[in-house]
Amino acid sequence: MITARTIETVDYYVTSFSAEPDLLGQWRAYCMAGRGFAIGYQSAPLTRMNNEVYLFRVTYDREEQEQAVRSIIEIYIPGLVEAAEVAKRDLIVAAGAALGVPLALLLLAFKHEAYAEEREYRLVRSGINPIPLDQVEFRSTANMIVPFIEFDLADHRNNSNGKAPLAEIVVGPSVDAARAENHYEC
Amino acid sequence: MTDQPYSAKKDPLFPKALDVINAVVRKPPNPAVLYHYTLPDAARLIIERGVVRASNIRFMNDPSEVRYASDVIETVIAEFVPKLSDTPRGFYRISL
Repeated sequence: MITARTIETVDYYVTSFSAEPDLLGQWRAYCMAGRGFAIGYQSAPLTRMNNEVYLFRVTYDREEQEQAVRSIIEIYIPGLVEAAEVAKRDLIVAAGAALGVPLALLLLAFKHEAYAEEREYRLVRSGINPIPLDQVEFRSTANMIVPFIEFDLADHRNNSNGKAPLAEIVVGPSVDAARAENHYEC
Repeated sequence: MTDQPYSAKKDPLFPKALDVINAVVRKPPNPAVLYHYTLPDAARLIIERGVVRASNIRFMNDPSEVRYASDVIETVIAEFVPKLSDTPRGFYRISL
């Protein structure tokens, strides 16, 4: 039996979106060669999910990525230098850990420029506040068992009608569009 | 130092770092609509219950993404540390 005990509560949970409604690479990667849908959301409510879930724009610009890392390191340099000067191991470890938290969060927004056409956005559940283990579930893929949580897009403070902010549904290229439309009408 | 685990919530520098992160991840223009590509099973969940599944980042399909991002960070750290080979590489990965 799988239990949530093996899952560390500080982990980050991520779900991906694209600004592109009809991208062949996305159909291939996430929809078994087009046998799926691209669910379009109004983006504004996603930016106001709650204090623990952030909408991230992914950046593919190496220069922008390096500059952001540089800016964060510069914030923490005085503390690191101070710790190194007194040469106390626990101080150095603490200063390094402090720097590691924002860097770990930031790197979730970095991808190689080869993927730039995806124009990816990610909803990220930060691991800074522990995730209650009873919220963690599991799904199986072709070769793995993957822990996941659910983001409730229908029930947050800025979306009072209780419905997910759907804008449109794009039918994948390998789906029978006429039959899919019947589903929609149901 | 105490034996308490490190807490970002108590780190006085964290809000400044968060400003840097927000400048990157919230950079305009924001597209009006964002698309979640998914299979019929998960699409049903979304339409019926308004939820999307978010996967644990450590179990996602593409470890090369994490390697790439780590490489960016190591490149910049190398600017600060003259001899990267003398430093304990990967120390920042502990919080991933």
